[in-house]
Amino acid sequence: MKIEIRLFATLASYASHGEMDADACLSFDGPATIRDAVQRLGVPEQEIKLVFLNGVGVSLDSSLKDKDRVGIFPPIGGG
Amino acid sequence: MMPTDHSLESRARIEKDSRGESCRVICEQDLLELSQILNIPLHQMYLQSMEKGIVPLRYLRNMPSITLKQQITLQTSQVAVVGAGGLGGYVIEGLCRLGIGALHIFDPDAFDETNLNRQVFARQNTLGYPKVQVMQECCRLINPAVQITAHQIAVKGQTQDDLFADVQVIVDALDTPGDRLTLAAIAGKCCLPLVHGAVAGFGGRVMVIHPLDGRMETLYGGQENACSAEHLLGTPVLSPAFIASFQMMAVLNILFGKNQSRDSRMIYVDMEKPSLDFFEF
Repeated sequence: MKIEIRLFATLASYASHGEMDADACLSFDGPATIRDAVQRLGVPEQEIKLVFLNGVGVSLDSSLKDKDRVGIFPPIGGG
Repeated sequence: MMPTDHSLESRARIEKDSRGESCRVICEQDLLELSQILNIPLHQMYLQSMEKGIVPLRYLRNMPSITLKQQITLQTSQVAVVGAGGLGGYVIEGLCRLGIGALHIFDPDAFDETNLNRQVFARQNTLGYPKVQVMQECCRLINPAVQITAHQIAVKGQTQDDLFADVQVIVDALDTPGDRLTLAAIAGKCCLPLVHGAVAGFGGRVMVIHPLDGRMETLYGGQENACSAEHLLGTPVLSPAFIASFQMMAVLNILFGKNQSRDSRMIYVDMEKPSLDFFEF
């Protein structure tokens, strides 16, 4: 399955990982959770504040299915 | 020779609006003169004019995106803006130009050189001066029909809820997670919607926090003193200018009673990509 991963703000640099394709997608051969995707990309979990699956807030343990869109945010507090 | 008819109608003239339709308008000088002659506060003079269907010239170019009826709603509204930095500066100036009846602005700090990159009222000649005082003076020159109350204080305690007694909406333009959590608690206690905005780098987000919905805790809970993204990415002027505009739109929607069912989504804008996404939680 292919999962689109959007990494925002300071986490954007992790999107340049070699396993991400040109469409910002990550491929999995079997079942996977968002945490599996995060670990493959090397994103430190302590830097993650908000996680979204298809635009809805979820936890890192959420299971993924083909064509899901994942959004991951660090803390943002600037004004 | 001064006209002896001191009615609003006598000072009105006909102009074409942006659609080419005729409408009665009145200039600020006439409103100021009538305010003094009739001993009516200027903001009341504006309100009376609009209620008679006479459009103050300064609002003519708002129409029809903002109708005269909506402009009257703005003139009778009170909004609090907490934080007068990057976001707050743009929000305060914008709400002043939009013609909010009363603005209550809060910030304990004075301008310094690190503010010059993005804060709209930070200038060489305002460095060292209290932000709220500078903004109050500038906004008076922009729109004297707006009553601005400057509070050079930090909103840090839940006992400060009386500060928002007459307000319909609070704008969160702070920059510290802990202070934002406190403000959300106060807004909840006052049953007021809170228009949250935050920026980092070339991105930022906006969302309306409804009273006691707990979503500020989702954004910042457990990270009151965390190093957040803007410390690593900085805050160039682009992102506060853009996100502040979205915050103002949220304020207008709340005051006009529009988009109530959809305004709880988080909007995230990445200007560098560019992209705009909606998130729900």
